[in-house]
Amino acid sequence: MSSLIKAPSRFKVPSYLIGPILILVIAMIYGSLGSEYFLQPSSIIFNTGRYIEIGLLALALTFVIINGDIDLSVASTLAASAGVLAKMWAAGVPIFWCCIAAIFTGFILGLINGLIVIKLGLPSLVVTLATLALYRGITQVMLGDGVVANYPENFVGFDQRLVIGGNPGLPAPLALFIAASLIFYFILHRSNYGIKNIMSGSNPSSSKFSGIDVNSVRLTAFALSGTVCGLCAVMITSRLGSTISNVGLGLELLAITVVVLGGTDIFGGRGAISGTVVSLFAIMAVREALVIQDINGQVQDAVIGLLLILTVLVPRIRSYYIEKRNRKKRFNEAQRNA
Amino acid sequence: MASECEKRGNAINVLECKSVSKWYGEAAVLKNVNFDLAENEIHAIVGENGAGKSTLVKIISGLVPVDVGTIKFEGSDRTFAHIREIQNSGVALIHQEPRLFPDLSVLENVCVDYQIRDGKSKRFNWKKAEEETKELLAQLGCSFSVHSPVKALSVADQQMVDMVSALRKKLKLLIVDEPTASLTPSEVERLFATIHKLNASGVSIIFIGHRLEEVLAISNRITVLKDGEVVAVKKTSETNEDELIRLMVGRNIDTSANNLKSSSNQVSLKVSNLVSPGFVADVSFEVKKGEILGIGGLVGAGRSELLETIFGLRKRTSGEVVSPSHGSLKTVKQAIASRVALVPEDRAHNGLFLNRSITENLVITNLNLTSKGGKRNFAREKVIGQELIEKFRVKLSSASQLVRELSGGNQQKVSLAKWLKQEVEILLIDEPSRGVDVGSKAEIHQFLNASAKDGMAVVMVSSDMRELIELSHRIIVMRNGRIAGELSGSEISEEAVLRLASGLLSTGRGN
Repeated sequence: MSSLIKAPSRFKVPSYLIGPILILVIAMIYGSLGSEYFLQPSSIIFNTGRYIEIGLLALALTFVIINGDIDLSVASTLAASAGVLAKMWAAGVPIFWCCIAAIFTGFILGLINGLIVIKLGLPSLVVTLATLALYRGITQVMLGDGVVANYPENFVGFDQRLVIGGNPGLPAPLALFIAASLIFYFILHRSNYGIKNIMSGSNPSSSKFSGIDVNSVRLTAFALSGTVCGLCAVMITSRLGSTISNVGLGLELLAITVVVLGGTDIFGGRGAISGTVVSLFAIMAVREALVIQDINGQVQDAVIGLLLILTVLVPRIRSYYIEKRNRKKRFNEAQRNA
Repeated sequence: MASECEKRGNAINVLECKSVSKWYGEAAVLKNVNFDLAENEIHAIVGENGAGKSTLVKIISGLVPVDVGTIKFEGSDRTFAHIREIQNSGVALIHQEPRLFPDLSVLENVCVDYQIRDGKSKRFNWKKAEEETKELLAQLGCSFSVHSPVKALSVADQQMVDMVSALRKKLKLLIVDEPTASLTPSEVERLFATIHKLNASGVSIIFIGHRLEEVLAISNRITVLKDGEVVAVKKTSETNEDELIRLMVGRNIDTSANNLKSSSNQVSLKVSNLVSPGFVADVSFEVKKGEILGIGGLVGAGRSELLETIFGLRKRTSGEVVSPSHGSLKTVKQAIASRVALVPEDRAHNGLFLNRSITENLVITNLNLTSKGGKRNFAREKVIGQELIEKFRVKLSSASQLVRELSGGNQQKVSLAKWLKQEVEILLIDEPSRGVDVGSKAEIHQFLNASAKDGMAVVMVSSDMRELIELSHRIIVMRNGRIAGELSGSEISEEAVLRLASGLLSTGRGN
């Protein structure tokens, strides 16, 4: 029996990271087979821009999902925030205040999601499915078929700027993502709010019995998610230099994929920021590798879908076989003793 | 151990389990267990929580596959039989918490597997099924409608529904797993009458129980399990409670609590005219410092709801809860800040985070001690967790283990311990020993007595009559959300509590 109990090693990669890391490595190898420039720092940095928005949304969603909720409306919240930004800019408001207004809009829309879910006691899946359509609809009403462009030069092209110059250098979006990851890591894993968030996802009733204000924890997560959407609206507007009503369409599914691939339990109570971060880079590597290898967009989607199922499945298969092996060992042992 | 099972005349064994072993993960739950059941016998299995009782009957009824060993039922090998095959051969398991479909009606629940078996005729005869079910329910002395949804029934009635589904088939072996844990005395009586009736009609019975007086009253033979091994098989007529406890625990336990009366007159908590619609109606009482106030009553009398209302978890429409040293308590936050703690009855749903670690479970109520400015300090969390684990002697393999993996008794200790790093003035505890093994139960009782001596006020809800009477300094009995009466000193007796609980007397005076 004692041989079955292994001494814990000093450093162990958490099981939820194994899948994403594997995908990341394989995709990098596959990509570099397609082009020698694939792993060049400059090409990686050039490509990060649009993934960072997904990454930020995924970080915020990690909180909502660990909490046992879901926010499907993130992309629509982003669009509505971008719409407010565009409208205010078109009305002649200085760009700084437009950005502040966009972030604030995100915050309010997130808060609305949370309040409906909590005050009316409706499932967040239904509520945010509704606001997914609602917020997108409001954006379309605001912007119509028009395009708002002509943003000031010092605002546009944020993703091409470097925080640290030189080659490879550190582009602004990546710097922002690293900073955000650290902040979110701290909040989730090192702060009281974080453990309350995880615990209320793990068992809301026990949380109430333990004196955690579950509703305010949930509301905070929704508001946080909305605020990050507002921030992403600013980033995406700066990157694209224009705003249309279907901005960020479909990003919510990508962001949720990143969260789940990173090992966060879709039913709440378990998950980690490190998972979300690694899984973002894994998905980014897969997409870019497939682009380099000249494989078209639809196939890329299919590959991501397959990878998601495999990543969630593999740890289960692994533990099944470990259990089976142990069972066999014991059976033999028992046979010998008999 | 097989040698201990003496021959019982001409009786043949209905069931024979030979060297059965079972592992869950790394942990061996059953080690080389031999168990047999003679025809028409009532064979009880006793043991502490985590001794492997439930696992053994789950294996016998086919719910869980066996790892090593053989199982014979009526002479034929059933070791790897499919659960349906086992059920069809006349084995039924009644769970402690009936596993029914809460939203379906009684009739639908009873017919669920019957319907599948009746596959040859296209249409299911609901009328006939209803008649049969009604008849069986009447035989068992149940008065509820076959059309009411199961979730509207009490646990006892749900067990009866389970029983009816078992009775619809030709029953040969009935296994009842801790059936009385959440039943009231009259419901227990009804259940026992049913068991005896079935036994008289030729059904063999395996009975698992925590309450030894019940086990001794009902069984012919008793198998004692300890840590997954059979430590003894005794004829009921040749053993007694003390011996069983010694066998189960492996040491002597002082089960008699010291009933020290509280000497303090200082009021710790004053509840006045508390109303929570539908559950608690106009309840007033006081608890003094160092007093253990027992709350007796039937299941559904509003006792748990009373505790939850005091703790601020339930809406109250009127009334007040006052702690003289902290003022009026309205919310959970205020209650906790005033050093009130609630240990709930249903620890899996309300007390613990089963999928989180022991340490996390213990520090979640102590974040004010472990963190600074909202920032957690893992080192301090570890120290405090370890301190509580040692203080309550929680048996574990590592503090980062999930609470799910602990036995019932150890889970209860965690559920209690998480409040006790900081001074608790008023402890509200709901069924302190439900689903808890004898050893842990004694430890919890000792803890309650010692804490009361140190000045803690304890309000304890209990359906375990012995626990209630032995621990409480004073007892109030609830009925239909109201206080039916109060007992103290020499008035306290099992009979007096029962009379008040069932409404035979309106006050405690007069016995």
